[in-house]
Amino acid sequence: MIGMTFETKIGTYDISEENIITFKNGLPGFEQLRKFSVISRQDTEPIKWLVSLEDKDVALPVVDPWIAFKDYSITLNDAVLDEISRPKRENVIVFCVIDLHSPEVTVNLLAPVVINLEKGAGIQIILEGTNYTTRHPVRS
Amino acid sequence: MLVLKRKIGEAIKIGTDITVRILSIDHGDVKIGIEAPKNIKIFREELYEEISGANRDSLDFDVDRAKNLFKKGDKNGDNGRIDNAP
Repeated sequence: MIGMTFETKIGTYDISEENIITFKNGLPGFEQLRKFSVISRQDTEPIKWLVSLEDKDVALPVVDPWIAFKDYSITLNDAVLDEISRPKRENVIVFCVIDLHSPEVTVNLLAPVVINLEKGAGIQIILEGTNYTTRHPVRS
Repeated sequence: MLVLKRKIGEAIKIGTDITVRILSIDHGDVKIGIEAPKNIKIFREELYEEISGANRDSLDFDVDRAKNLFKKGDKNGDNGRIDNAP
């Protein structure tokens, strides 16, 4: 696989085409950005980094929500699945954005990022009819 | 901004496949019905803004703070894979 070098907010990385994720509507707050990748850094695991490949100042820390919130539950409706090219179940991955800036570390369970690994397509969805919020404190 | 006046029961069309209808008005609360293709996402503005704000807040991180979170005893790292996708 041919990789390209990208300068990101958390450093310079070689990223192969298969690891590029397209968010065709961007992310809320970053609607103009389409190309992202998820970077795993051993020193921050299990927190990973959703980095923009188009704006080196944009990177969001993300985490598998089930690590911190075992009972977390989401439903992906047809519109969402269509948006990410109808993934097979085993190719779906879900992350939630974590806020490492505020005094209390919180996770956004209301708007998970859903990625189709096979097709490299992603979307940040806003859950409906749940009690989840954008700021669930992490108890550590 | 385009401004239109509508009565209860009347609607506007946005393009050919989106219809926004005024259903009722009660003490300043306006109930609106929207018909749109399912790929059109519809949000209350303040909800979308809240998500945008949360994303922007998360930009401002200290990598070091990420290093010691969730460290204890969690080795099931299945990387966010979910079992309940249809």
